[in-house]
Amino acid sequence: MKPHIYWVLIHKELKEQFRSGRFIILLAVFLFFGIASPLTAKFMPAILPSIIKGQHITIQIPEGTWIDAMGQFVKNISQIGVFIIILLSMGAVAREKENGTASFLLVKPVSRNLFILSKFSSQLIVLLVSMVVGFLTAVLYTNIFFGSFPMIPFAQIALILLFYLIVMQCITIFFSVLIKTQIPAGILALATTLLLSAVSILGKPGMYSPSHLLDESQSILTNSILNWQPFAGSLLIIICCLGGSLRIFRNWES
Amino acid sequence: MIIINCSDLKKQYKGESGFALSGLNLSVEEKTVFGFLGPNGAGKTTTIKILTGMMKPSGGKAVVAGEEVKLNSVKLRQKIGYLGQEPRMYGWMKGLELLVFVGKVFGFSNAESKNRANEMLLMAGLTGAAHKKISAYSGGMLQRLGIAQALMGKPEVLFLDEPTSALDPIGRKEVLEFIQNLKKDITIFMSTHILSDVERICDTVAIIDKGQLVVQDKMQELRKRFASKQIEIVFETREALLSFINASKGMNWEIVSNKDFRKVTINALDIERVKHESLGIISAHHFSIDRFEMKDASLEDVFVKLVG
Repeated sequence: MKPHIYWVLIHKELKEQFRSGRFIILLAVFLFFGIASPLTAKFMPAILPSIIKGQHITIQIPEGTWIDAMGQFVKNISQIGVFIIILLSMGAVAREKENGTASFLLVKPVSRNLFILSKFSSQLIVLLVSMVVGFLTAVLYTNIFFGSFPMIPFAQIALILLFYLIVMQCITIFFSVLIKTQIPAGILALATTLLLSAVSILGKPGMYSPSHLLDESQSILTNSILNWQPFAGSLLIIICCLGGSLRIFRNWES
Repeated sequence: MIIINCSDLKKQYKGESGFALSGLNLSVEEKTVFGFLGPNGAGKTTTIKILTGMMKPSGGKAVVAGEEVKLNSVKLRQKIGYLGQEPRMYGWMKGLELLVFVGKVFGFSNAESKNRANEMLLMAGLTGAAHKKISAYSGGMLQRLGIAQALMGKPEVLFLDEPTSALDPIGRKEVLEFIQNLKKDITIFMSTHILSDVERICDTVAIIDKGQLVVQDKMQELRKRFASKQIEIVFETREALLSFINASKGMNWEIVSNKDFRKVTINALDIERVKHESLGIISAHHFSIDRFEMKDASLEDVFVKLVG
């Protein structure tokens, strides 16, 4: 393994993500939810009654807390965030196969494993940076609206959320390696995400679904013991996606 | 010295009953321009993809620059350069940026890559476009940048798959001159179906058809072997042409006629005898002619004869 070429590839990937605007889009989405989530938690109890004013309905919503802000952040990112991640990652490899740049690069002394690893790593870096920015923004605004709050549970929840997003990203990149074109790869990644959610209701085996990671984040707030199964299941999916991608791409013919 | 050697190379695509390559044997001498000819679907691109390690052969063996050809051989790819039919490069990069990136991929330092990239841009006549986005390059510029990037790694063998097919006449001329200047240092393996390009720059030619080698020889030898001379006669009238064809029936000639242009082309091994006989027929029947010419057979004639 030549780390030098690996860094050259990562550098190229990050530059491409930046210039194509994909990096900025993801960053903007996380930044938006970092601001909007505490904002919604703070002002929703005041906004809702004003919307239904005059309809003779009385709604009593308890005042928002930092827990609601965090809950909003997790909900927004795990739904819309995942969708955006799939959209941005579905072309990671498929786009290069589609437009011929994969052949351009792979006829040079670049190992196929390094090519795939650079794709996973660069996508992960972009996700990590976006998540850190989103998290810090959410912390800042939660602090502004709700005063000081315990940071450690918030950070733990954000880490679990990040782990969930990594699983979804790995699934998307796997399909991007498997399928020739990016749109079917994205559709399959989305379908797999929905399937994993559906599987999560199947009793004990369903506990291994990454969808349960989001429930586990709630356990942190109640100081309950975390279930290891969703973590094990997620880790297994990440390993399978990475291993499968390396194996499939080793035999890919341009 | 032989730098490319293929023996019994085969390729069968998944789900297809026939072979795209069915036992191809080739050998290419170093520091020559090797023209790889064949009609569409003959297996030219498949051969190049196998020789550059982009595709796995279904059978046989190939060695390029001393390295056995394998799907994932980094060692092989360290020694070759490749430009596909349509240059596909990162359009979001600038010309210089792409070449520096390619240099780094070949293991050069940042400074080495920059120096080499500038050299390549100068050689390709693209110094002025070094900081222009590749997506804004014209077809000819793209092709020259494509060759420049293929040369960045100082390859021993440069594979060019139909490098001029998408270019206008000016772009073609530029690229051919560029290729011709390279042959003193490296071996060029060029596939094409533009025969005039081959005649212009290739030292050796191989013609393949239906995945098999039809012939391989030096350019001049090929002409000698397959129709060293031809006679071309243009008649004044169409009637004269038809009468000539009639009168020459039974002669041991091969006549190709174009009635619309009142022209016949005669191929024969004993061209001197044919010259006297054909002039005899013309004189005996008082056929009026516009032109009577003896000329060397072109590569096109050889090609048509072999695979037409």
